[in-house]
Amino acid sequence: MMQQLRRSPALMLGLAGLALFVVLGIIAPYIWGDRAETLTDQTHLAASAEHWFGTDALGRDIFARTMVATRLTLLMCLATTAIAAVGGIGFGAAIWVAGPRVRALGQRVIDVLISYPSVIFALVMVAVLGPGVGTSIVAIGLATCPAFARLTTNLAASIAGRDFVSTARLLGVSPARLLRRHILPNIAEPLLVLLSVAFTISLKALSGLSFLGVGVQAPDYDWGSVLNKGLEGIYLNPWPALGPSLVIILAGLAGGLIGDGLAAAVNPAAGRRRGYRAKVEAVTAVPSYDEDALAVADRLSVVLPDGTRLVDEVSFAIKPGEVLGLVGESGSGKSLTAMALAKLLPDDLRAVAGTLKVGDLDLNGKPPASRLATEIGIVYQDPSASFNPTLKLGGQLTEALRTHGRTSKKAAARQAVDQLAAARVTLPEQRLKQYPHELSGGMRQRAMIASALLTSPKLLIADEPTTALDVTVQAEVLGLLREANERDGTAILLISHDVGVISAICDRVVVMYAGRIVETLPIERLRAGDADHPYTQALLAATPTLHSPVDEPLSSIPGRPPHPASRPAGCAFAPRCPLARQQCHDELPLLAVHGTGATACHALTWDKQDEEVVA
Amino acid sequence: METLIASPKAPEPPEPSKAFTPKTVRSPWPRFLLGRLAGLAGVLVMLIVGTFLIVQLIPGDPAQVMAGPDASQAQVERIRQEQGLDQPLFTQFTDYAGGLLEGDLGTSFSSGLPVSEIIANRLPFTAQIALLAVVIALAVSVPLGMAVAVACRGGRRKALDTAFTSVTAVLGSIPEFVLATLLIMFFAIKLNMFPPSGAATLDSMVLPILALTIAPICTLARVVRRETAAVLSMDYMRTAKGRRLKALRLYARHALPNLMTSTLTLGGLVLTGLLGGAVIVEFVFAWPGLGTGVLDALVKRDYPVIQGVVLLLGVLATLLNLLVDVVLGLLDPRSLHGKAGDA
Amino acid sequence: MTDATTAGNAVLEVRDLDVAFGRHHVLKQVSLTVPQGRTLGLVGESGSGKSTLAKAVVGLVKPVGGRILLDGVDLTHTRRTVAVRRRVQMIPQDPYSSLNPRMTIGETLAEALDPRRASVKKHRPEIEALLNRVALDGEAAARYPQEFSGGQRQRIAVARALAVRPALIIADEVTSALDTSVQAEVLGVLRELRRELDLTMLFISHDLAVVRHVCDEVAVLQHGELVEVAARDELFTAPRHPYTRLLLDSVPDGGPLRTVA
Repeated sequence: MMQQLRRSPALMLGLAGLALFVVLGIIAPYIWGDRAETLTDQTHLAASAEHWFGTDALGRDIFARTMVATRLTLLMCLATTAIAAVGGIGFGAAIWVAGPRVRALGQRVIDVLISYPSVIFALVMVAVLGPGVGTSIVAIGLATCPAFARLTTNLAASIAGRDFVSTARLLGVSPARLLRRHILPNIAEPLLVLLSVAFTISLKALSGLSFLGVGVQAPDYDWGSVLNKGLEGIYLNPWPALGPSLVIILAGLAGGLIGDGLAAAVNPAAGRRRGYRAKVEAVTAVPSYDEDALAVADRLSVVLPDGTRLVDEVSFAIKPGEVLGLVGESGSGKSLTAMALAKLLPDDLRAVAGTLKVGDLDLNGKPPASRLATEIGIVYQDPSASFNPTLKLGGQLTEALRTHGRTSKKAAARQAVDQLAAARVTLPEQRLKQYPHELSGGMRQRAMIASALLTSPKLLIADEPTTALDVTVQAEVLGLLREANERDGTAILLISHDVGVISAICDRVVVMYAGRIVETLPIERLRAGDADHPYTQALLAATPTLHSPVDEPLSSIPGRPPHPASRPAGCAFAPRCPLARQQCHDELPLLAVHGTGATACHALTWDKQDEEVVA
Repeated sequence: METLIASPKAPEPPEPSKAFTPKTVRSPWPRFLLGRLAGLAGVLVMLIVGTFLIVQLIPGDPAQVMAGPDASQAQVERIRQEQGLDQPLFTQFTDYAGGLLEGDLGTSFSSGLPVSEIIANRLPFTAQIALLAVVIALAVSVPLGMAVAVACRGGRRKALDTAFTSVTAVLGSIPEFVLATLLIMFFAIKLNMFPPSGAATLDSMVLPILALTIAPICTLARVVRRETAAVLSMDYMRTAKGRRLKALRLYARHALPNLMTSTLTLGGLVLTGLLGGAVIVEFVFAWPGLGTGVLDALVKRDYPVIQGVVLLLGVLATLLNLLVDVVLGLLDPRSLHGKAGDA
Repeated sequence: MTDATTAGNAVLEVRDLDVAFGRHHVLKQVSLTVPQGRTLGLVGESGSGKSTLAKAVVGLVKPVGGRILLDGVDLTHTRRTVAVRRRVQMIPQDPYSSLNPRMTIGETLAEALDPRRASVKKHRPEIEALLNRVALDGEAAARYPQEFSGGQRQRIAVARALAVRPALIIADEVTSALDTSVQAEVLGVLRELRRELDLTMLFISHDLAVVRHVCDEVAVLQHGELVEVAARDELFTAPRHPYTRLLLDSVPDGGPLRTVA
């Protein structure tokens, strides 16, 4: 946190600005106090070297008055912010602790209060208490309370929902300690951001009240009241108004910079800075794949802007009508590989490949949008997030068909109903008029498959299509995919972390580890547990099944995969591999064909060498 | 073993999977509107009690304060009687609330006119600039924020990003009254392009609206930009991109509705804040609306007028919130659930 | 799996438990028993009520009917004291939300040992012993959760539950957020501990293959009703209820897809 703070120039600038104003607030009355108060006959003077902002109706120097007003203004802002923070956080924490009923009522009260404009609330307070420094502070402080209260309850609720809080309750930690140990430390940073925002808001509001003449009253004066007086003579002499205006802008800016800087530091994702587009050498095409392959990825890499390869030169091909499985653990790059083939990588990632094609669509170039949309169908992981929640299903399902297939709305709807029925979605006509959230998860995924198949794609890419589903629904969805493959000959690329899911419907499997392919093998061998690569073997041994022996523990893989930015020079699996020798750490093993599969492992060559030695 | 098996149900055929039973489609609107109307009634009661209390809470003798420091004892007593301050509190409240029900907001001390008439004269002026300001603020900030978010997605165009962030930070932090002062200085006095005050001509609206909208536009544009960036990273946007739509369709049809839900939730506050800003801006430009009305009344301690205007502004803010939530509901029906109660 | 187990050594006994949220019945007449030193697996799909059952046992959800007994003591309607609450500990599902990011591992464990003072200094030997139990180094105590992998965090959560020496541990989907290789690591630690410490555990999971590797007995929930309870081998080789058969047939277990009728 501290490092992030130091790295934010906005925050540093803001803090420096604020420090300057604080120093000014302390020393100004001693330096300019006399000039600010002394009445002279030099009234309404224009700005000059003598009087930087001119003089007012009583001949007092406005620059001096502006400087001296800093102290009162800052003190008022401070008091206001303190009232808002203490009152708001206290109220928020209190209704959070008080239990669900009080909380619901309290939140509703906050909602009402927060929507009432603070200036008008302040005017009411002035009407009751009469204008003055105290009234302004109390009024603006109270008006800012609801914002703090709302943030406190929202944050506390989000933290309280986390498992470590409920666990602490079970451990017998008292509510007060819960608040102090677990909740407040975890919400301190956003509250700090709000604190700086509240300071800026107070400055605006307090000056505003004084400017309207209902805030600070003579003989006291703050920036707002100095500006108020300046406005009167603005036609003759702009500086009495311009000067205080500039000071208020600068102070507001300092507060704003602090708030922005803090917010960025608290939420590193928002302030993340990355150099864009590190240079990556283009790969030259060498056609080393079967000519009849439907989809080809040749030395495909997926690259971060800083040059880190999340996927590192993977090559594979999908034959027409084939169901290819892509299996790997989180961070293996399997989904990115699939999204590169779908030309749907996130905006900050980039695919580089010798060849990347589906059918005769060259994905390295700029393929026509309509063919991309219709020839590649995609089924996403989370059916609850992959449909637009604000649009009805009908429009979403038929959109590709209507946009690219030159199909009328009616015809598209008819086809959608047929396809939904084929995917065994109940009441297909009715579904078109429903919103996604009105369907169950399983129904949504069926609808997603129907949507993907609606344009009769050549290749269906299914990215973890069953991970979010129950096991019985998973079996049905896998059945649907296999059915589409057998009925229409649609080739499928199925991505999954689950060896069982891959085994269920694939013809061939590609195993990925740390952004690279370590092995490809026909599915029969995977099912039989006959893999060559130590990683694949370890993965199979770690996977519990319904018939693996239960009396011995599953073998686990010690350590964890390397970060893509620090992938070792040699085999990425070497640090965790029981067979690894020095060669594995130094040399990158290449994918080499061994019988019915291909494996990237030095150990396979040793066997031969060892045998030769024996012979 | 048997100890484990307490009393499982006798085996029976499994129920048809839950997924196959369609949920009944019932509109959430009646429940939502009913709940909100009830909430609205609650807020109205709160507002009425609040404005009633303005006079009651004046420290010391309210009649004395209302009459002013120089008033004679007889004048104070007359005001006490006129305003019913000598009545029991409950009677005062029922009189006040009863009057409100009949549309009687009381009578101004200073002008002797009914408060309702004063409001009727001034409301159109405030409504003019406030409504225009809301429309302009939304019409400018939403496309601006979206455009910047799209242009800078995934770390592109760092320079534009920095420029947008700094300019909105600077302009957004300028208070309305400072901005108004600067606008007068530049456009009215220096360039003589627009009248500096009054509401005599159409072009006299330009400066007040500018002063009122620039800061909200900056705040909203930043919100829109942030929310757009969040929406663009959503799964359903990737799904939509997978359909290879034209950019305009992708952003307008798929991103905009989702973005408005989150933007309006935050933006609602900015928009109600405009009502407060209007008071200040009216003061600077001598705009004959509710804001100058209430300030004028404050100076003259004209409590019936203060109460009337404050009540009206409160009702307006509440209605604006309701409007925001209705729009939210139209954009995203899910937002209607669980929101029925708040006003 | 002896027939001689008496009710006397049942750590947890749930009798005819009914839980409802409003008009929605989540658990209907559920009865089960977990004897001392055994692990009962609770399987079911989303909406089956398995998490609700855990919450009811822990006391986070108030049942509308039935009884929950811990070591023969009825907890259903009594207000649970701290001492009673500490007898049942839960290992939560998500390793990324189960540890307070602002507390070191040592502080987290110290709080489990002594929720009032939570002093790391006073409990250093115990903390180290706990970490060693779950195959972690003693120096891990000074570090923050962010520095650990999902599997390591889950092992720390196990250590925290052990710190209390609870009568019953509820493991709620403890491996479902983990990668396969890491899942094996956590299951391995649980397996070791069960043998060494004679733990009594309610193991909730949607994954039948995982349950098969961990549990002695298995209970199957469907839409809030208990449809089958059986010893592990019995349930996996000869399921009696059609729903149990459907579940087992749906598991993709390394063979080609079996079409489910």
